[in-house]
Amino acid sequence: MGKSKVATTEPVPDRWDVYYQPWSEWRQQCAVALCSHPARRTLHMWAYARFSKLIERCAARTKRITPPSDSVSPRNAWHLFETFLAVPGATGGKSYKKWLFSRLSRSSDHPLDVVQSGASLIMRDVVRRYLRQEQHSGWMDSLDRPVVGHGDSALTGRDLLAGVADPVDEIARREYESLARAHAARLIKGIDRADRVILLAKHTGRPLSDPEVERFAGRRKSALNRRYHALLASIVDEVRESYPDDDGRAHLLLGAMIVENLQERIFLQEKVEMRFGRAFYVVEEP
Amino acid sequence: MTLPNITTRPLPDWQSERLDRWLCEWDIFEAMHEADEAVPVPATEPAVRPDSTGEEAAAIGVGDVRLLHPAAGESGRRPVYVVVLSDESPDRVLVAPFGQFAEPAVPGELLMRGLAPGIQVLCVWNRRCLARERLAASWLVARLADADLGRVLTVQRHSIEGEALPEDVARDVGPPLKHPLDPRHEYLARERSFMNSLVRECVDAGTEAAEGPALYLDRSRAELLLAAEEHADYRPQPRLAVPGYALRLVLVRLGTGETELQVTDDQHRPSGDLDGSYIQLPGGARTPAVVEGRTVLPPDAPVAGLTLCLPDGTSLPLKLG
Repeated sequence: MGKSKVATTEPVPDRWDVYYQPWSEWRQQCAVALCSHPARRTLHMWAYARFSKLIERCAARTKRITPPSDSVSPRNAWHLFETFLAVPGATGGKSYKKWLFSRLSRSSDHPLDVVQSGASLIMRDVVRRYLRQEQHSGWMDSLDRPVVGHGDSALTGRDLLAGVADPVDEIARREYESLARAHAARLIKGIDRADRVILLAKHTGRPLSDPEVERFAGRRKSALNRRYHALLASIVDEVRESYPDDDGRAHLLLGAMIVENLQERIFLQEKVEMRFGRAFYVVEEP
Repeated sequence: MTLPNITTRPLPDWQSERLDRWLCEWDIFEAMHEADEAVPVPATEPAVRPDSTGEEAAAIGVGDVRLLHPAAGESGRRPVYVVVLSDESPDRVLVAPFGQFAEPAVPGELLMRGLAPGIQVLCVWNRRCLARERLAASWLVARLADADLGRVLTVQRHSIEGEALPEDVARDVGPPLKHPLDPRHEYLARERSFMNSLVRECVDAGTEAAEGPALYLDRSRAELLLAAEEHADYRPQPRLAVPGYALRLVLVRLGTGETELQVTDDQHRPSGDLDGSYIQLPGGARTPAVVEGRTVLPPDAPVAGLTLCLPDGTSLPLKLG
């Protein structure tokens, strides 16, 4: 006959409760500097780990980000976090702390998860701002970087700004509009379902990250963005091939007018056919 | 074949530089979001009514910088700071949110200084009416100085009436957005969608009026005319029913004396179902055709005796109610 286990009467502290304690202490104090040393250390290390992880993951996504060799110290990582939304001198200047902990009452998850996930959301903005400030000198070519397409036919941010162009007169405008209609009428025959959804979303001002847009297109936001860019690039390529003697600004203007015309055509079709129910029936103002 | 001639308008260097910095941040933002989409957001109870102290509600004032309480949905996904633009309506408050970026993206965004590193750009273009009760569940963070509030209201007037911006304000707004291929369109769509979700979460939580002008969720212009202008009419707008249709025509008096007629569906959303139709007045005069759910009645038009003329020739008498 085996011995039965005797339940202990001493409460065993939950591991998560231990980790939550520093956050709870910080909540009570004005700033981390007033917290106990262990709490301070824990929070500094959390900030450092989260900060570094976000930079690494961001760098893995784009070659344009180089993880800083001398990244911030744990203390500075926390300082950046703690001051990001703090308004100096204002009575409610640290209301973001209330926001963080108010999320507790809305969730059944462990407080540590709730508070850290909220803090991570803020830290994401902190890191983005840090990267922009630290690495902007290497990014000064943002305007010259391809925004649409690639290679020689790529459009850059500067092209788009330079694209603040107009036909020289009303007759020229009508001619551009006529050409845009002709190109769009031909291109619409090759538009598949995903491209149709993308253009409808663009026309009605809905983001490509909208879950309904993703569902109708059968693809995630990033894939839809790539498709949209490919579609735009193919239109501009067609314009360039059709009018090789004209300059890029004229190509860009006509390309933009074709895209607009294409969106309008598809939107009008959708109003009649309602392939996607009422999903794109509400028009939002730009 | 060659294309017709064009003219181009060069932008000042400072606008190019601002857009350059914005694009840089946008690139990082995109990379960050793709990499970090898995950050868990705690499950939230749907349709909760935010806590309200009542004290804060009474203290709401124009120029307040407030942080919205993380109710269910979007306001739990990022801290939403807003500036109160108008609080003249008894039950609604017009607010403009702060954006997530450090640079203004478009002329409707204004760089604000002196708050916090993460609270720098006010998105005046993305303003919305929220229920006063919802604002009561916010925290007062700071109050804008009179000069700063004046700059905000100047940008607001600019976006409504096209009023020219003074040079010192013009230097603090974003560059013009003209080209349809510009990536800022996607940014604007997301931010607009975010604020729409925020307003919807108020409706779900029962803190927004079940009916009334505040439900022009996607139409910031109408909200502005209602809540931000001296000539705005805060009384409940008359509505017209369309026999046989689950549609309402809401009449919104504009500052020009004209009345804008807005088509909404049974969910109070703007509707394009009547596009191409027009309204015939008792004397036989016609309005312009309804485009994107809107048309305009002349200043002295009566509300009674209007007839809706559909594109197929059908005429339907409109009834108040």
